[in-house]
Amino acid sequence: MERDNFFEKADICDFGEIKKIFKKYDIDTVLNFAAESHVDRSIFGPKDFVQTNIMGTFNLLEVARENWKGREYVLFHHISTDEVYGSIEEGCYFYEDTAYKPNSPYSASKASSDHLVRAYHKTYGLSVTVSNCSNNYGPYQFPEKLIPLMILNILEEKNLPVYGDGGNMRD
Amino acid sequence: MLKKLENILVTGGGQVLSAQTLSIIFSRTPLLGERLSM
Repeated sequence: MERDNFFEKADICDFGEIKKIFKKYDIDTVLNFAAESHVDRSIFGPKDFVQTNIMGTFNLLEVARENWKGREYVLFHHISTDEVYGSIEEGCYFYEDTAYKPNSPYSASKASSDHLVRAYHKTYGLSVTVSNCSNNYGPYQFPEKLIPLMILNILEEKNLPVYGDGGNMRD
Repeated sequence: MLKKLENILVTGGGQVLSAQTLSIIFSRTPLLGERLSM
């Protein structure tokens, strides 16, 4: 069977490297999951978050814009977070048109990258979608994330750590 | 349109990219500038 999945180790902040990958595989779709994503880390060291989440997304957008000129069947899908909307009031929900109100360097950097993606659509006509989801999870996820952390702690009969009084809500 | 998106670059997060996530993303026609609710 012909191989149809390839792994490339590259930094999304490296414009030249991303450009090479686009050319090599004739990329027509980007699913941008790459991000610094741990809120606590962003509080102690926000620089990496600004660099990766904002500049990295900018790089990907620029390469896409350069490579997709005149192409119809292309898509830039940007994975964001519900945290760009800030805290939620009881009984309320986030909607696509809810105002952005990021509360941490992490969510501010993601909000910024969302705005860049939107701007590339409005300014250059790039075909884009953005999803703002809560707590992505899946196999082999780093155990600092909420769901694997809770599962591992339950398996080891440890306490389940929550922020504040545990009354925080998600949409 | 969906059938013609063939060469997909998935950046980062590969460990959390499930078939379910992909199917949600691509089960909806990707309109220009649309925001997806997942």
